[in-house]
Amino acid sequence: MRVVIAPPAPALLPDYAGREDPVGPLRAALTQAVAWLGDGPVRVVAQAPSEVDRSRGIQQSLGARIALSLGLTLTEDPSAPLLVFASGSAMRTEKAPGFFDERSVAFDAQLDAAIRSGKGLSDLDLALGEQLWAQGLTGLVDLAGAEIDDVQVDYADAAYGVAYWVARWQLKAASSPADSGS
Amino acid sequence: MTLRLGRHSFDDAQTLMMAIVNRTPDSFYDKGATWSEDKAHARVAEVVAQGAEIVDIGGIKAAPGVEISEAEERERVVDFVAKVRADHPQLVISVDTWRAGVADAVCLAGADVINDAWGGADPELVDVAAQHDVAIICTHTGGVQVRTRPFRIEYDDVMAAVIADTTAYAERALAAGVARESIVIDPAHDFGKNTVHGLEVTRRMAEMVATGWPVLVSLSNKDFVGESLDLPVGERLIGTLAATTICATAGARIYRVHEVVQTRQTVDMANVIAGRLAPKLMIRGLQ
Repeated sequence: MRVVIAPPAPALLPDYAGREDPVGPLRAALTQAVAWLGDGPVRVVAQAPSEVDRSRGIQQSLGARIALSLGLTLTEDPSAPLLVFASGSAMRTEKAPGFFDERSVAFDAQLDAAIRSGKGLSDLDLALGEQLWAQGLTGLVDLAGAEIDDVQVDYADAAYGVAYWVARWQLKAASSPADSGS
Repeated sequence: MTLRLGRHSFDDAQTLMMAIVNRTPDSFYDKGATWSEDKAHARVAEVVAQGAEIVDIGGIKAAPGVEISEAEERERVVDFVAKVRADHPQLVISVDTWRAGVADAVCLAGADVINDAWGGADPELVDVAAQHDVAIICTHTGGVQVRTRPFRIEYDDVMAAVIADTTAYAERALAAGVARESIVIDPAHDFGKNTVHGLEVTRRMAEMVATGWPVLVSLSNKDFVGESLDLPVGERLIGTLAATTICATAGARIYRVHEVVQTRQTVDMANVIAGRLAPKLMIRGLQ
């Protein structure tokens, strides 16, 4: 099974397209990665906003909207390729949405290692992640234990103070991640 | 409608800055700052660097003054146009003249637009535009003579007069063979109009845009701005930009200006607010 991890950044939506693209390299990486998922329907895993998210003004989960804007067809079929929307801390700089929190660097490094290896996802401190304005982590943790054949990271950067990844995981044929409630 | 100015074409939504370059010793705003040829060329290079799509080169100031013969006008602009054409192949060159003879010469030298600020005083101007397949700016002057100031002029309805005259001029240009996409109308603020007229034309700009002809406005530092604020030339930029906002919101396409950078920002901001133009670069709250 193929899995793509991508950030639920509103800047990816056509609704917010300016004359210049603030996330050009991210968008290019995501476009290539979802093409790799194939022509068929895709199952989107996008965490609904938590109470804490709502207190920060996040009212909607954008994963499905972003996926639809990329021309994907969505399905609930558990055997379909997965598009998991998650991002790291949003506190990497003083200009970041959540201001600067020095814990964000180590947290994002741990998340980076987990995304690049597929290991250690269950060790992530979800409470800390929430404090650091990370999103979609439960969708990633639900992939813990899946056996991975190959990982390709197409994009990894903390643009605008928020940690983004676009990554492709090729899971072993027999490996089936738990239903994560898309 | 796509706008075609001589060699250059522009999409429907694109607004254009037309920077004024005077080849005169006595124009009201710059008072001869670009009278010397090298300074005039430096001014062209400057406005190109500032993003102007068009330069409007004029050899005679609009206000009354010493009579300039056709030969003298040619002397001032023709070779200059040829050099600008050679130096700036991507630039739209407009020449501000009412004389068909001068227009013919500058078109041969590489001009793309004839800016007839005097409302068709020379009836052969449209034929020259058609012959060279260049654009023409059709202005409203209320029928006053070339290089005269308005004096006790009255209109029953100034905007109706502006629309009637400029669209009639546009139709005359079309009939003469000028391409439809190369005809622009201009209410000509301050020409044959007092300040009250200029303000009404500004306020009702949407009616002019609704004619379907692309609209040029020339508001820069004019007396209707100066009188509205009781400010002399040199202190009219803010007033000019406020008037520019109103015209941009109404949908004017071309802005004949002294200050390119400030006007470009003003026009873009108005069009972004109006929803015709996307913001340049957005990320706040969208990470």
